[in-house]
Amino acid sequence: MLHLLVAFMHEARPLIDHYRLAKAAGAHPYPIYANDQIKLIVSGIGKTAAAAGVGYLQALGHPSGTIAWLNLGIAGHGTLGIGQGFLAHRVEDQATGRCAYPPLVFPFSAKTSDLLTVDQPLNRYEANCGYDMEASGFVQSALRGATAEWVQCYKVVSDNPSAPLGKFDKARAMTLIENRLDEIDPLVSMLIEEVLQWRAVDDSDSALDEITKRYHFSETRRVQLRRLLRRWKALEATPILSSIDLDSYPNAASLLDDVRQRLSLHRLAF
Amino acid sequence: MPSFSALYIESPCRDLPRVQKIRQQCAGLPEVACARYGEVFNPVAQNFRLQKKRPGLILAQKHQGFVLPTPPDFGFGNVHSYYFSHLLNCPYDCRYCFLQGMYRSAHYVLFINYEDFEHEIGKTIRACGDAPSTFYAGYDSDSLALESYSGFAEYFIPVFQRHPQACLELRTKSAQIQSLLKQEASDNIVIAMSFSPDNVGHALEHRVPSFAKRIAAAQKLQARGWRIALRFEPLIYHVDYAKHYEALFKKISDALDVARLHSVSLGAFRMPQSYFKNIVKRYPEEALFADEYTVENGLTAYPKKIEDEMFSNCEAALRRYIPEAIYYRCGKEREACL
Ligand code: SF4
Repeated sequence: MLHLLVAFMHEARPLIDHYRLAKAAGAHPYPIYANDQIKLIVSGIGKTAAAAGVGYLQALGHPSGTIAWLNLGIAGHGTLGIGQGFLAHRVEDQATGRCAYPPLVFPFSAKTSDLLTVDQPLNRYEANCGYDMEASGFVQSALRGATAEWVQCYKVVSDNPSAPLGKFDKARAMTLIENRLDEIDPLVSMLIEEVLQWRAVDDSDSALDEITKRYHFSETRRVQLRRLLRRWKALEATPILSSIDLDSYPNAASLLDDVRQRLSLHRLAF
Repeated sequence: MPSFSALYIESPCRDLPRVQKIRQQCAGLPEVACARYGEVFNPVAQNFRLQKKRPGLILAQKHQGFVLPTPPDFGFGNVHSYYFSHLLNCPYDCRYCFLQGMYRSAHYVLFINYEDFEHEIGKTIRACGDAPSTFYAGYDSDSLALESYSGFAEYFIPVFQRHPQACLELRTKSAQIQSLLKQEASDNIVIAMSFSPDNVGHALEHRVPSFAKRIAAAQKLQARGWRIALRFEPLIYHVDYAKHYEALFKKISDALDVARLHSVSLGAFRMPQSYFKNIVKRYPEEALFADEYTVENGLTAYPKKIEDEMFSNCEAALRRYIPEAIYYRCGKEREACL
């Protein structure tokens, strides 16, 4: 229920170890690691690679229901110190000027910052702004399948005006992420917890599957059934499958009539 | 007091005094610059219900449509009726409110260019000549709920005091009346307070101040000479509704000076069908929406038989507590602070 995207294997390694992620079975064009709650993809560098990585996870399919997306990695920053972590509250693509504003609805108290996704590494830093090469591609791609609240970017500062970008140091990237697990772990846990809570709200009625397995429903009747099941769930304390005898109807139409009739007897009380 | 998740500020208004004041009040919150508020507020992929947990406050400037005519049948009967919205979305969370289905985002948008609103209001009043006109605030929010940030009433009450031929109605479920108490009451400014029976309030009006706080606020305002109106809208159909509404009417008429009320209204539950569909999707477990509704002319409502029965019973009960002359039945279109 949480999809993590990182650009480099060295950013991924501390996460793979910490969450005991196992290499996904099968042949994939990207390194993919997973446990029963997290799927991690190593996309490679740049926004196009990040967008493609998201697309690949989307195409792999997943059990129905909400998924949270998190882009983790190292970034430059104009103000924050080396090793500090931040959540992006605004992600701008430098090349297109396109902006996204990940809503900060969840109770997570990390620092937040603008994040500018650049096509080439920069050695110039504006105050209060982070710099990376993946976030805008990640966000735009993830937003095709999720709402904005579920698409977040968390970065650890690897360079700033007093320690400008040098040659990419793999071991250092790994250490930076590892040293911020104290902040990453609560973020990951919170996103998973929020997804679980949301899925409980959003859960389409499993009774729908049960009922439509027994009777043939035309598309129109399926819509009617779905609506009636929603009403049932909202109004009745006893689940529908415990209230009706599922084998007792001659056809779908008579089942719908019966459910409708039972609901019409209900009076809203506060 | 709402706790905002972030402060979004349209870059061109960052340094305006009203924005500066709110920035100080919100010191410590993430401040996010945007070019236009629609970049934050309008994207399709947003989850209203999740955002409602912790909305952000967007400070923006409005550029057009400052004052609009109300739908027919809205309000208490002046031919020249208008509304204006300085704020989109409401910190309260009434399940029956059309705002739950209207916008994709639950962030608040506060339009801070009050001077432009004032200018358009003045022009509209002048265009009415000698005819009385009414202006409704709180159409897309609650008029007073964010007062400590917006300073809305503080600004607009003096505006209408300068235009005594026009009436301003502030619609609210708030008990935040400090800015009203600081000012002189005026006959052309009406504070319309909405109430529901306790059981309905508990079930459906989340985050709304308690009945006791609101009725105490109404008493204070009456004592200071403010004109109070009562709104019982929308009537919610439920077991023993007639008994619950009558108990509410009695409780309020005991607490307030009925002879000094400006007006009292009842209103039906009606909402554009598309908003209703959105709300049902957002709150599928809400029993209120699992009741029977009909759709007529694009509006979702109770079946006519139920609506007629509710009006007939509630109007009969209301007559026992308030004079007929100040009663009206509220219109058929959407309203925010019902
Ligand atoms: S009904 Fe009024 S108080 Fe309630 S959420 Fe809507 S605008 Fe706010």
